Amino acid sequence: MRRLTVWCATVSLGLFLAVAGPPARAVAGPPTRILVSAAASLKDALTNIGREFKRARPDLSVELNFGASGTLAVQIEQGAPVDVFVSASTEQMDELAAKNMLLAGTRVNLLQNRLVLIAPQGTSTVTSFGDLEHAQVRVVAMGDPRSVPAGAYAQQVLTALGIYDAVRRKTVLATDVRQVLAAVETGSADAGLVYATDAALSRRVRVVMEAPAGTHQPIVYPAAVLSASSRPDAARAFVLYLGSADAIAVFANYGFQPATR
Amino acid sequence: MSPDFSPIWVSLKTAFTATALVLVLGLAAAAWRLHRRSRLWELLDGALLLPLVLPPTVVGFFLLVLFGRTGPLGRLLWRFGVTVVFSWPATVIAATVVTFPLMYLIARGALEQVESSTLDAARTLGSSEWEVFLRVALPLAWPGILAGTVLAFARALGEFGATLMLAGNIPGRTETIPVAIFFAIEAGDTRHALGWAAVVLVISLATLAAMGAWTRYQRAYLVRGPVRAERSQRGA
Repeated sequence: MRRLTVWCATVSLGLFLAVAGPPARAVAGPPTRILVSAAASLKDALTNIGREFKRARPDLSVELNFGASGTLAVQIEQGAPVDVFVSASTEQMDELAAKNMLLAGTRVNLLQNRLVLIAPQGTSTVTSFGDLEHAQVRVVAMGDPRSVPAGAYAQQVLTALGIYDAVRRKTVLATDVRQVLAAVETGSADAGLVYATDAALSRRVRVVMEAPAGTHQPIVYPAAVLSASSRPDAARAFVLYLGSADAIAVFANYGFQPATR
Repeated sequence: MSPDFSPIWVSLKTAFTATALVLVLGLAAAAWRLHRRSRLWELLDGALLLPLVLPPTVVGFFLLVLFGRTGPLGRLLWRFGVTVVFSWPATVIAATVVTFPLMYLIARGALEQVESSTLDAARTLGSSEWEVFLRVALPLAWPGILAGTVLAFARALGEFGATLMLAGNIPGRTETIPVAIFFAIEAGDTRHALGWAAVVLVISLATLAAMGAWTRYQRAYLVRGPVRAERSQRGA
């Protein structure tokens, strides 16, 4: 009987703790929360901009969700409560537009980027795209073309250079571009394809060369508010802020170029 | 794009290899554990059973630290020109490490169940410890060990977290079915994801059917087993 009492007490305590939360803060109304899904390559820049935005608009709270644009688009299509979507490729945005999931008039091209071939710092086996075919290069990291725009651009480059089929057998596919960067940083991969902005963040990789002009579609980052957003005004304000001079300056610090309007 | 069935072959190759390894290692560890009861073994037990309670991603992380370019084993193997990370053997290593505790526990349980009086009888009749193990204990514990092998195979087939971290996703080389499913879902490719899930379902159902058939056989074996053991001792 005593054991039963103890057990009941424990369960009750557990349920109580689960239901009761931390004490409510005495603030004049909670900030409006908007969820922003953005390409993984924007992580550092957007986190920075998010903080600036909070100072400009303390009544709004921005939650950032980073990942591969393809995966983020799938999440949105499956009903994730996202207010703003910033993609590393127009493809995902077009997909959502075709399904009428974008709020009219909110789509805008924000940034441009470049694709580069990288290798671990301190190695010299890879000096050009052609070197990727050599047997010495055991593993080449790239994003999964189906869900990672950086991977799709990489596939375009390798195909344009005529080496995709040869290199394909040794590509390790990652779920986002930062994973590719990590694989090359740790030396697990002998080379990788990432954005110039990602490469600039790490001292443990060296840029071998930029993808030759014309080998891939222009890398454009569009942003838009989703039609299912329950806070469209707040979402619009954030997208507008992303296009402001302050935000563009932050992006430029990380190596992003503003999109040609 | 033509359908790529390579994940099936990669998964089956990995699962069979890992199961074979785990069978040998698990049996060996269980046999030694029962043979030598020392403090050292009790401590070792904790380490050997760890992968069973750790999340597979944590196991994968530890393996990556161990076998990575800067890790102790990684650096050693690098001198021999061997890289484990992002290679097929990595899938086997991940599956083996994750499955070993399961096999070890089951083998230990199966061997412990064998009556020590039977083993002692064999010893009094002049059998060496090796013979006692191979010709008396093992045949008697076999039903349980085989069940453990089937479970180990199922676990090795379904291994994902540690595999993805250590072996990565190299289509045709390290892309196992669970990895293929995960990447298909990430890409919104529900058709392929469902396809692979169906394949795994078929294999799992086949495994369960095999286990069911085995259990029925086992009941008969348990009666025949001890008789067979006695007979071989009388003949020796």
